[in-house]
Amino acid sequence: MLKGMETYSDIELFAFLRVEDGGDRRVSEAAFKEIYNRLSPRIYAYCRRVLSDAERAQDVFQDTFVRFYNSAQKEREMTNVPAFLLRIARNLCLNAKRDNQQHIHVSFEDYHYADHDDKLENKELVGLITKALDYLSPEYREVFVLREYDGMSYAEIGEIVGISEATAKIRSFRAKNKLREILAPYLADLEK
Amino acid sequence: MEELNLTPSELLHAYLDGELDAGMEPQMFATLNSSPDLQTEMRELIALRRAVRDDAVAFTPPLASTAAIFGTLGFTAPAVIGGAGGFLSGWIGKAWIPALSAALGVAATWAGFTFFGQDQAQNQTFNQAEVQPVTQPQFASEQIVRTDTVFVPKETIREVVRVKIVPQEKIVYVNTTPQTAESQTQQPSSREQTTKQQTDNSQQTLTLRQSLLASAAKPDNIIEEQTPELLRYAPLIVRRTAGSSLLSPAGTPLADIVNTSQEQMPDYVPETYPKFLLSMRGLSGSSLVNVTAQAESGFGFNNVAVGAMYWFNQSVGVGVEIGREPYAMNFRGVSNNVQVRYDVQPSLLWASGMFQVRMEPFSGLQPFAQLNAGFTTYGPIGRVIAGTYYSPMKQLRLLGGFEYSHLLYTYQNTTYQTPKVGFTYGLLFQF
Repeated sequence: MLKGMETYSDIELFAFLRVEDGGDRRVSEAAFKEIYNRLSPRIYAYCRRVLSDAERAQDVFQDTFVRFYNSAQKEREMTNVPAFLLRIARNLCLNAKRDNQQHIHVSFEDYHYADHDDKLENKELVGLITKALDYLSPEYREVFVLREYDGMSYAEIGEIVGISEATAKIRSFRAKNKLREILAPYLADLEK
Repeated sequence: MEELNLTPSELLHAYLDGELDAGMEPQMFATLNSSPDLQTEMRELIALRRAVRDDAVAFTPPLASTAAIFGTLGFTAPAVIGGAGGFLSGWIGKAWIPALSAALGVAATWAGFTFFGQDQAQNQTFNQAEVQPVTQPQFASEQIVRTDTVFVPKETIREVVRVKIVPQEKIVYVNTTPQTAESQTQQPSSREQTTKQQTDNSQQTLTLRQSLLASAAKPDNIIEEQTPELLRYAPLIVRRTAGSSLLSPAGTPLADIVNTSQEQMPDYVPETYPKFLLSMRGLSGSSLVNVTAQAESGFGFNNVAVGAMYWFNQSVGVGVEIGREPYAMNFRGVSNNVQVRYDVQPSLLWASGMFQVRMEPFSGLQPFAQLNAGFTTYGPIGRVIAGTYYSPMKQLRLLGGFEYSHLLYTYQNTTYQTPKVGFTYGLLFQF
């Protein structure tokens, strides 16, 4: 069973996580590793781009997976593992925002991208998007990140955030337009 | 019907999201065709989406975070993500497979060699006892008994004794019944000749008896004999027999051949060169470049190398080898005017020529060093292997060792490199 974990679905892997009902801890560990390999980039991207502070994003990211594993020992039903993880991450991000006043923050990585690159004009955009996200309202930013970074459908976004699918579409539309406004000079340069 | 009320921009967004109804697409494209602003918006949205997908920083969880999560849960960090130990933990994590394979291979070889070898030894002893006749060796020295064939009764073989060869000594015959032997050697030509012969024989017999006294003091009355040529075939097997009547070269009667010698060829059979070999070996290594991308599977043929070798002599050989294994590649480039960091680990097919140097074998082992130089679809690759062969049987060699390889590749006029270290283990078949 330890072999070929990649062949199992997210829901099957989630079932393997349980050790309290006599499950094998080695199987649980292997299943957790597989889930982590599959979903950690998306969860980290969400934390990293919803929270501007890289250190807090990392704290939330770590806490998300630890809580996810502990929750798996109690949860009986699971229909959407990525959505479940994102819901945990979202709650922790909201707590982090509530506990700490938001401010515009440029991490070392972003600074590196923006100012110390040999081909500044070509590398800028990724860093600029990161910065531009700070100018979006939290509602728009969240939907944009879930849609563009995590690849969630509008229905899934609505389920995670607690809004309708139509509202999710509208927020995404406005978030992109806002980003286009912020990045317009750079995007225009890229077209030349 | 809700989409009928969408603005051109909303239609464009829905189209790029893949959520526009197919029936609405003609309207969207018609607008797009006539609206430069909408075209601009489309290009900007596509650039925005590409930039997000190339945001490697966002999609790369820090190694420290991974280690913290797995440490909190009491798990070992996954090697592919990196973990606290980085390269080393990943390398050790992968090492158990070749280590287990090597242990099983050694155990199987030992078992086969031990049991098969014992059976062979028993059969060899039995066959020697059954040999009838036993052909005497054709030694170069004239002092050695030259008889074509000695028919040795099976029951007369009392024991087989190893004899140490001492250079430049003559055969010492042990004559236990001289009187009977002498009577058998009388020449009927003339009395004088007979008398002289008897005198000579008596003198020789006396000498032999003196030698007998010396040899009798030795355990088991072992005959010692030597010719320089025999040194190459030491040790000899000496059969102690009884009841046979043979003559010495000088006519000395030997009523009882106490000892006869039979040459036993050594087990070692010299290798013949040149020779061809086919090799197949497994590769288990880790790139010294950290990437988050998982290693490509290689479609079944992965982490394996096959080759053909030509050994000129016991020390030097050349050959060709092809293989496939993943290499972590971390490089940067510009795509659609966006700086992109690539983080990939493709399984690369490589081909190379090789030059091999081998040491003198000892205890069944033969250390070797090998240099490979070749190419992949991405760029040149070099490889150094140090290991040893073990030959459980003539046609087969097992190999195990360490290897270091170095891949060079170029992307958009910038050269990158990926070093890789690991184990290798496999088989060679000799023809």
